Amino acid sequence: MKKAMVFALVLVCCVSVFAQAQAESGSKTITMWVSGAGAQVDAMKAAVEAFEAQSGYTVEFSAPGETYEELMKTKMAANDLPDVFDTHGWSVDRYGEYLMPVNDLDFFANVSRQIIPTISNDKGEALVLPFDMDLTGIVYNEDVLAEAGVDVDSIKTWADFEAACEKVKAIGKTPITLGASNGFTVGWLYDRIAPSFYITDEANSKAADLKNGIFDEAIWASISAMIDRWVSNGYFNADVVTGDFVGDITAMATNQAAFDFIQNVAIMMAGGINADAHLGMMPIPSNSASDEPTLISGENVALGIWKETKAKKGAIELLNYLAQPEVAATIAAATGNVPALTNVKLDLGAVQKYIDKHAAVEAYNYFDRDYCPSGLWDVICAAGQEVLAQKPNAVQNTAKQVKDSFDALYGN
Amino acid sequence: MRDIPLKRRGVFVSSLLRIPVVLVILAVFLSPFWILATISFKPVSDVSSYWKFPSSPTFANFATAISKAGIFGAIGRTAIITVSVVVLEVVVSSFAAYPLARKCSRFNRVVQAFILGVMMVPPLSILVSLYSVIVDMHGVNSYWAVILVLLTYQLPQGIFLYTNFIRSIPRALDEAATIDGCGPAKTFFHIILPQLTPVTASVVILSSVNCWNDFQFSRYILQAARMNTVTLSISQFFSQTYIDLNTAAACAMLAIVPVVVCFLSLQKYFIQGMIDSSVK
Repeated sequence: MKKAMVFALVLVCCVSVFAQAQAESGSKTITMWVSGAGAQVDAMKAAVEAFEAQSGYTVEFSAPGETYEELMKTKMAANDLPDVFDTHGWSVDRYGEYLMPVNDLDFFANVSRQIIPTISNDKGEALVLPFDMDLTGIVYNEDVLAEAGVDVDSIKTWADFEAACEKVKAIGKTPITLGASNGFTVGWLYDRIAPSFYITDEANSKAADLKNGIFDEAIWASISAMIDRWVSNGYFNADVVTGDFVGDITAMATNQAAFDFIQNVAIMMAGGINADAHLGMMPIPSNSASDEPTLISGENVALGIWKETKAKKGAIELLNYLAQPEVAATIAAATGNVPALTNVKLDLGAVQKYIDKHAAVEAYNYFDRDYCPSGLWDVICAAGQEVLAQKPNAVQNTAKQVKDSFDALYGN
Repeated sequence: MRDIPLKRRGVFVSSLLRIPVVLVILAVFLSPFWILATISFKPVSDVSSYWKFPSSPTFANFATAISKAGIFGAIGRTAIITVSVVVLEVVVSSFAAYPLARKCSRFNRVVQAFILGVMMVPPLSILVSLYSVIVDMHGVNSYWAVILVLLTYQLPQGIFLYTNFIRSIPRALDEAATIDGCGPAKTFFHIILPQLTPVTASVVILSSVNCWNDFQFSRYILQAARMNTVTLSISQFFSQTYIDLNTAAACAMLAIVPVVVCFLSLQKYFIQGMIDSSVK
């Protein structure tokens, strides 16, 4: 027993000393966190490794995947942020107070004028290095729509969209694929539909109200009622409630479904499953004939520097390195989005022709990011899952839930 | 059949009836492993049912799991954490349980209630403050911090099990040892400790499974990719815009190998421990 005890103590001591030695971080160490996974993270990691090799800095690179936001919230609460981190669309509203302005850094001259307002606070301070800009709508399968006799360019309103869904349903294919077990897919659905009900129709726009903390519950209920009708009409996949994100992409790639409310990266992912898949991107229909279809735009992959970092010099060097055209191009290419740096020239392959085609379409920032208080996203996802599951009175109940949460988070 | 006595025939028939039941149970327990295996051997382009084994299996997912996720390193780190926590838990909780079981004073009852109370505190409710303390102690990305936190949450269970088990050992043994000149420490090491094998097996199983599968604390404390444990390595294949189920399954397949090997090689001790524990 004594031997066992001694062994245990020695083991723990050795482990602790070893770990402590590893945890010591000198001034040449930069901690860096990025959200996402797959090609986007791989590209970032490769660029960071190249930076380490040429600069002599060590970068503690971390990509926690799905738990990124949860971890960052805890780290903000503890005021212990990474030296450099990805703001994934929330550079101003969520992370703004923790970030150092980047207006004076070398790369800033090359940041696209289009995205500067999105990444700048009220004082005009830009807070991040953006790599790409989301410019997305609804992903569709060209082959399925052709088989169903649907002309995608003729879809202008939600009524047109529903007529197209009927045609797709008539040929035995799934009109809309959605994997609601991954709550974020439900959030994406609402993010795409909500602007057409609240914002884009100038005559009835509630944008100013939302910015002032006034949320119209009845409009939200009408969005949910439309989704509820889609479920009742059989437009969604049979396993919409239990299905997942992977199933979505697979259904699109294998010509089983026509529409997917998802980012452009799905087009690239579908190509990995079926090289013969022909997916495109269309603008989001409007809610009235007097309004026009729109796109969603916004910040996507963007890195900021924690204003209290002890590795400021290294962090700035890292961002300047990553902003070089040839490096930034590899990161933007992995997302399938438009580069946010003007000196980066990039052909987005399968996605490019749709970006060019819809260049004149008006784009709005993500609804939850621009018009809702931080924290409402999870509520929107959970409420939407109830609507898709067609729980009793879900349309009205969830509209009330979203309003109550909006008010509470806004501080009303 | 006529020569077989009626009683033996009944036993034979009931044994036959048991076989399909056993097969069904076996199928239920093996099905997750089967699905895991089929997914891990499938290329991304194979969109057939998860139940169907791929027509052209690939090892590419395993190669990615080894090179990109560093799953072997993750297994090593998880083993270090698990072994450290389990060893410390066995030592500390058995030490703590002995006086608690033998001296039923009011103070000891309060101590025991306090220890059990720790089990009722949801880890998430103290996460931010716990994390802040760990940051202040420079414990982020260090083994000692995660070991300490996991141990804190495992100890109450160990102390509870050891205390109840020691209470079932007759006090007469302690008294006899005292008459023979043993002090409390010597009595514990020479008389009590050798009898704790069954409950130790239970403690080892319960806490090693908890530590091996821990995600929450490891996620917050071991933030750098170089410190990833098994669960953290697997989780990096899931994000809001990307899920690589095939590589994640390959990682999981590799990660369960040490656990299966460990259980198969030690199962006679575990089973014996459980039997002894139930008899006690």
